Amino acid sequence: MKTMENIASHRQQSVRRYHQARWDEPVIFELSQPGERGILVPEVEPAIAQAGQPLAGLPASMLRQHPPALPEMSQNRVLRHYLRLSQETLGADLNVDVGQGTCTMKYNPKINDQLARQPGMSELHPRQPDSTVQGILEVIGKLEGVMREVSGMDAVSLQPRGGSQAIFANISMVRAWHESRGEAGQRDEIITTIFSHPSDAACAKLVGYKVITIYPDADGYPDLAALKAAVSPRTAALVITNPEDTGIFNSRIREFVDAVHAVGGLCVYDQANANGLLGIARAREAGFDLCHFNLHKTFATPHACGGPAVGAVCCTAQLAPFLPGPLLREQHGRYQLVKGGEQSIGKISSFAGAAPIMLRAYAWIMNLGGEGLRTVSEIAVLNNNYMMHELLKIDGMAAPYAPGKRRIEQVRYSWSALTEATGVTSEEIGLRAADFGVHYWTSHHPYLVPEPATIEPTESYSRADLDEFIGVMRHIAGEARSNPDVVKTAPHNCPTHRVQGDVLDDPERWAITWRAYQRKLGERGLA
Amino acid sequence: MKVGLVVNPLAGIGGPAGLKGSDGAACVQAALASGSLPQAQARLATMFQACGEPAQAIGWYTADGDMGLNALQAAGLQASAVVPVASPSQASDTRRASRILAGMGIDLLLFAGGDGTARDVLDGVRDAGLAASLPVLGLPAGVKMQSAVFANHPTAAGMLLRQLQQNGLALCSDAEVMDLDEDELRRGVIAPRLYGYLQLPQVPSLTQGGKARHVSGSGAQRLAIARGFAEDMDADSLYLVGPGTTTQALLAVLGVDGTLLGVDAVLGDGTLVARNATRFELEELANASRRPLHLVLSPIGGQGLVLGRGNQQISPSLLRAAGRRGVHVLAPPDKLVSLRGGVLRIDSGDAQLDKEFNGYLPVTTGYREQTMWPVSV
Repeated sequence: MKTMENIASHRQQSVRRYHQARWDEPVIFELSQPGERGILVPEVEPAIAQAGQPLAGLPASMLRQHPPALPEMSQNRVLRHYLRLSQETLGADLNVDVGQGTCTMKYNPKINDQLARQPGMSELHPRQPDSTVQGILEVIGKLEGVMREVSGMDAVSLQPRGGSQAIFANISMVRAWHESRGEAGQRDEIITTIFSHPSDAACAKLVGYKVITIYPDADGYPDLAALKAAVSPRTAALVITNPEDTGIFNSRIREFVDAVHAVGGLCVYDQANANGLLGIARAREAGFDLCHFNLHKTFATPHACGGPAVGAVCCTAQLAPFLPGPLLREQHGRYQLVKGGEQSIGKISSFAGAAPIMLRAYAWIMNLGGEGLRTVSEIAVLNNNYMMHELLKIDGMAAPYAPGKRRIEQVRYSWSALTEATGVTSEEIGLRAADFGVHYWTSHHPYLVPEPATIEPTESYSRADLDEFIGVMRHIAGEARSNPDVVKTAPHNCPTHRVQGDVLDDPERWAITWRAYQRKLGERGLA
Repeated sequence: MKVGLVVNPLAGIGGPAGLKGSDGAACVQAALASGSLPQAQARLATMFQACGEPAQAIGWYTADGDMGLNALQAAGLQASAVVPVASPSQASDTRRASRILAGMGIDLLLFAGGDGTARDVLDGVRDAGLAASLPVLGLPAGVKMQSAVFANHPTAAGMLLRQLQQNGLALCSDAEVMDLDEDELRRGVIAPRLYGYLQLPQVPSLTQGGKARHVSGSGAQRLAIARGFAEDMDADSLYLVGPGTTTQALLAVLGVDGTLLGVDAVLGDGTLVARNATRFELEELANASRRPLHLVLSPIGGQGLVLGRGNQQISPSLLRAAGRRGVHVLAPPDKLVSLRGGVLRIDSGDAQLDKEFNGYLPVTTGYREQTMWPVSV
C-alpha cells in the first residue's frame, strides 16, 4: 500500500516519460509483392460462367486500359503495417489531447462507434427506397430538431460533409438570397475577422466574394469601429466566430450584427467554437440569419482526419428556401427525402449526408439530454478557466488581451516573455511536449499573438488529466531556463525528428499523395 | 554559420549633441568637441552578451580595428580581419568592407550603425551583386533609424544571432533602406527617400508576429496583392503608383516599365503616362488629365508611413484631389501586424489635411483580400 502511494505521489510530481514507437515502416506501395494476395477469390462456378462475360457489354471508353496500381499484400502484412503506423502517432485516444485548441478534441464514446457499426446501420445503402430506411431518416429528423433547438433557428440541413462545407453552403445561401433580391452583382464583399475560423475567409473566396478581414482592437475584441468603416452597400455578409480563437466572448456581437443588417447584409455565425455555449447562448438571440455546427467538434463524433463528417447548417425561415437538398420531410410519422426547392443552392455533396456520423452525434446528445448538454458547456468552461489559472502561474506564460477576464472554452496563450528570456520558441515547446506524450498546437498563420499556444481542455478531461498537461508545460518552461538546448533540439523520443514546413507552401514540392510525391520529388532525386 | 561584421565606429555620435545624425566630418568634430561618445561599441557588447555561447561557434569575418575586429576581440571572440582599414575610417570604408565581406560566401552580414550606414552597406552589397539574396541585419546604433533593416534592440539582435546559429538561417523578406539628407534635416526640412532594399531574416524575437509561413513580402504574396488590385482598376482613372516592391509588382502585372523607387503615373488600362515623375510633373498631369485620381501606396515597414517617406513627390494637393476614396494602400498582413504602434501614418506636409485621414483606410492584403487598418496622424 505504501509503495502504491509512493508511485501515485511520484506520478503527481513528475512528467510522464514517453517514447514513441519507431518502425521505419515504408509506404504501403513499397511493400507490394507482385502476385501476393490478401483474399483468394474463388473460381467462377460453371453455371455462372455459362452466363457469359458481364463486362463485355460495357462501352470501351468506360473500361480501364490498365489494372489499378493497388498494393499486393497478404492480410497479416496489411494489419501489421497499419498497427505500426498507429503506434507512430500521438492520437486522440493516446494522449491528454487538450493541446489541439480550436479543434475541440473531446472524447468520442466507443459505444457510439459500436452503434454505427451494427449491421442495421453499416449495411444500409443511400440508394435504398425511403420506406426501407425509416429508422435512420427518423434519427436525421430528430437530430435536425436538436440543431434547431440548440441554435434557435427554424430550418436545418445536415447534408454538408464537414465544417468547411457547411460554411461554403452558408455563403452560397447568402449569394442565392442576394440573387433573389437582384442585388448579387452589387454585393461582392464578405467581412470576417482574423481570429475567426480561417475557413470563413477561404469559403467566401471560393464562392467568389472579396474578403475584408477585421483585426482586433487593443482589448482583443474584433474592432467594431473597423467593422463600421468596412460595411457598405457592397457588403453581402458578416461571417464571424464567437468566441473567437482567443476564447474571449464578444458580448457586443449584437452591435456587429446590427451594423451589417443596417446596410442590407446578412450575418453568418460560424459556431466552430460552440463548445462553451450549449444551452447558454444561441445564434438566434444574437440576431444571426445563418449558422453552422461541426458535429465532430461540439457533438463528439470522430475528427476522422478529413474523412466523412457532418456540418449542420441552420437558418431562419426567411433563408430556408435556399437550403441545399435533398430535404427531409415528415408526415404522420413517415419520413421522406425530397429535392430542394426552386431557390435551393442544390446539392453540397451526394445523398443526404454522412448517416453513421449523425447516428453517433444523436446517440451522444440523447445520452446527455438538454440539461446534460448545458453541463457539457459548463464543465468545458470550468476546465478551461482552471487550466488558464494554473498555466498563468508559469513564469513566461501570458494570455494576451482582456486582462483579468475569464475565457470561454479555449485560450490563445503567448510564450513571448519566455522566448525573449531564453530564445526558446512556442514551436519548440510544442515539439518538446511530444517527449512527454502530449501535444499542442500554436496558432493559424500569421501569428498575431506572438509565440502562440492554443489550448482547449473540453469537458472530457479530469482535473488529474489537466494537471498532467499543466505539469508538462511547467516542466518545459523550467527546462527553457535551465537547459534550453534540450528543448531546442526536441523531440528526442519521436520517430520523426522535425518536419520541414516550407515544403507545404511550395506548389512545386508539396505532395499529398504517394504518387504526387514520386512525380514531384522522386524523379528529381530528392525523394 | 559565417557572419560578416561591419561597424561604423562613429555611428550615433551626433545624437546626444542634437545634431540629427553623424554624417560629415564637421559634424563629427562638433560632436566630439561636445563630449559625445560613439554608440556602436557599447551596443555591440550588449548584443554579444545576449547571444551568449553560440557566438563562439560563429565564424566571424570583419574589418580592422574599430570597424569590427576590436569589438569582437573585446567580446572574446575569434575573428578573421579580412578588410584592411586605414585609421580614421571613412564612409567609403563601410561600402568597401561590405562588398568584400559579401563576396566571401558569408551567411549573414551584420552591421552596426544608422540609416547612413545601412545605405553604405546596401551600396557595398549591391556592388557584390548580392543585394537580393544576402541576409543583412542592422544593429541599431545610429541617430536615425527610419530603415526597416534594424533589430528592435541590441538584445534582439543577439537573440537573433543565437537563433540563426542554432536553427539555421531563416527566410528573408525585403526591408526598406531609407535615406535622409542630414544637411536638409538640420535646416528643418525632412526629405527622406527610399534608397533601396536589403534582405532581412524573419525571426520571432526580431519582429512581433513576423513568423508567418508565407513570408512577408514574398514574391507570390506581392503578386497576389497586385493581381487583385489590377482587376479592380478603373480604365478611365489616373493612378499615381508610389515606390516599393509591392507597388512595383502592380506595375509588373500591368506590364508597365515603371520604377522601384520613384512615382509613376499610369492609366487604369495599364498605359504608362509618366515615369519617375517629379511633384511638379505629377501636379501638371493631374490637372491636365481631368480623370479621377488614385494614389497607390505601400507603408514603410516598422513605422507605417504611407505618405511622406520616400514619396514626397505626392503633394498635399494631389492627396486632396484623390481624397479618402482615392487612397489605396497595398501591404501584406505581416507588414501591418509588425508596425510599431499598430497604425498607419500620413505625413503629407499639410498637417490639417493629414488629420482628415484619421480613422480607417482599406488595405489590400492579398488577392481579393482587404482589411480596414487604423490611421493615426
